[in-house]
Amino acid sequence: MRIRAQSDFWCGLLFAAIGVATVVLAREYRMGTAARMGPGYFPTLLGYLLVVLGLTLSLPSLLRDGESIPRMHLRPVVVILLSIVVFGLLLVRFGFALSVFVLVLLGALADPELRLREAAVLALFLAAFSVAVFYGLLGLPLELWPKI
Amino acid sequence: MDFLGNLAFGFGVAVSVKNILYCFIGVFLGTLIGVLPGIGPVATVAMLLPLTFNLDAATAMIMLAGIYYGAQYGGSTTAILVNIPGESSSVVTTLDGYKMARQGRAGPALGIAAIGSFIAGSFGTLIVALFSPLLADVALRFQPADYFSLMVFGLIGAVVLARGSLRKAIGMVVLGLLLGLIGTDVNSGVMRFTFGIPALAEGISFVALAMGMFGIAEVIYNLEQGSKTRQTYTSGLGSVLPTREDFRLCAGPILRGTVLGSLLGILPGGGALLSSFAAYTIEKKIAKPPRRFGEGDIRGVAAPESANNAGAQTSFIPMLTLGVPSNPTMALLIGALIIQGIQPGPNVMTQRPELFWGVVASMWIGNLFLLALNLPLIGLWVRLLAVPYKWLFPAILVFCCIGVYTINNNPFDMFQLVLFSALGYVLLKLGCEPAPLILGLVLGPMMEEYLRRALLISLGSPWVLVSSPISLAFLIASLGLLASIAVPLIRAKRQELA
Repeated sequence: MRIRAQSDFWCGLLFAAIGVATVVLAREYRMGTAARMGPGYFPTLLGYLLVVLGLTLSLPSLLRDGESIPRMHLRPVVVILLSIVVFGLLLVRFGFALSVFVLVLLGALADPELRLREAAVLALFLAAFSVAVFYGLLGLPLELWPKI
Repeated sequence: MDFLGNLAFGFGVAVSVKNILYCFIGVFLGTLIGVLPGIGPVATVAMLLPLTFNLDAATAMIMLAGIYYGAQYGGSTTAILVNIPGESSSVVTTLDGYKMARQGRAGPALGIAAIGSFIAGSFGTLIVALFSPLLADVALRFQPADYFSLMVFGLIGAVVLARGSLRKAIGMVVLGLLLGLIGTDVNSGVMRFTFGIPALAEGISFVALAMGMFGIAEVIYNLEQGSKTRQTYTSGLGSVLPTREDFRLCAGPILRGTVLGSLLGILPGGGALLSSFAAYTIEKKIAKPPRRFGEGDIRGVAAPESANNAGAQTSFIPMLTLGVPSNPTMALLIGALIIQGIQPGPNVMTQRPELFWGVVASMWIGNLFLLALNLPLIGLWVRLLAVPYKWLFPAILVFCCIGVYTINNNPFDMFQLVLFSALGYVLLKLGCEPAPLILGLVLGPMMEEYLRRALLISLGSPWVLVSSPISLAFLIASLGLLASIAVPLIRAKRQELA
């Protein structure tokens, strides 16, 4: 069967899946009774609600026409998310200054219009600026340099 | 006389050197970042949130409020000069504002927006000072069931007045409520949905979610669009002072916009968006001659700009008195209060009067700064518009990451940021607005607690939600809001916005 409203269908499916996962996970917590709600009570309620909502989105989308999902471009998604992961990993051992520098340099790959030299200057500037503002001006407790 | 006494007390707090300074910094930074195309008020407040963590609660709120209306006004500048609305509430401003800019009248358009905003902001502040104590008084008598239904009403309001699909918006609210439950359950001490990760014991990082969904996801979305050709009308800005004729034309629209915005701003979800649309529509209807609307009529800038600023001020009322956010920015401010260790609600006014009245008084001072900053410095803001996005997005990336990291100095928070950015991006692609989710996130734990207490008192009977008249009224109002979508006129208006 052809799905006629792609956007509604997948959105509903996502909601329903999260709802089911919630209900399943919440079974580990005591339900209690309405008068004495346990930790599982409210999440289970919300989980079922999400499943119902998801179905009211997905099921009609098989019969009715609707919006499709706009095309996804992988490059910016992957590059930006990856650069944040690398930033988090670098922070532990290589200090704040270098991590910011690498974050910008990597993140810059997301936009093909940004040339390497531009990106390097930008990275240098933003690293210096961040150190000056967050360490110097605001006095946040940051490890600036790599641990040797 | 209590009112004047309170206000005087508030000004006493707000005019201390420290608070004036942070109010100024807030307004300045808010405008600076709000002007940049592609960054709305929510992202601006989220990015600057970490700057306030070391301040005391009153100063932090004063600064955040300043950032908010600074960003709001900055968005209008972008709307007029570049035809890019920073957020939905300045969509209408682009209609006549951008046309005026093309006719070489950008100066007066920006000028009247600043002046209208100031008048509206002053009036809105007065309304906040007058009505908040009354509302807080009523709210103190609320039972748990009443509170629960009030929150239902707030969430439904936010959903109905949002753009796009209603079912998706409700789904986002429920998702937000669920995300809010992650962490240790206060009643049983059970860790819920933490997957054995100790860092999640205190719940997910609120800032990581806000930055991921409003900052990073937005960056990715913008990068996908590629560099759009856009034309900025910055040459021949001319005098920012409107002519005598402009003032004569705009007096009515500014006043009507102010009153309308103040009223609608109190509604959950209403705030700035609804008020600017309503004000524009009304002026267009009653204007004589009407034909110039949409072709660069200054009244088409004055009315919505006044209305959205008045709405921005009065949207503080439910946040400050009930602890219920009416828009995502207010949700962020509530998050900031919680980080400061303050439980939002009607008790804030009595237990922390310096916080409440200080913030109210500072709003007026902040609006004065806004006027003082914008008229003479407009040239500086205009130059910021010329910064290309390819230089801007790495900076947004850096500030979002640092903002999230510096809250706990915990690199694990970066993975939360990645996760929420990805989730935000997928949801954006599926046509889901992130705003309802963040409201749900803030209200999740509170709603559960109130429901628990309500059902405890009623021995488990859900009828308690309809047997209390206040609670029943909120539930009926919620149903009314939902039903209103079925009204063809409102339905058409929502689609127009989408």
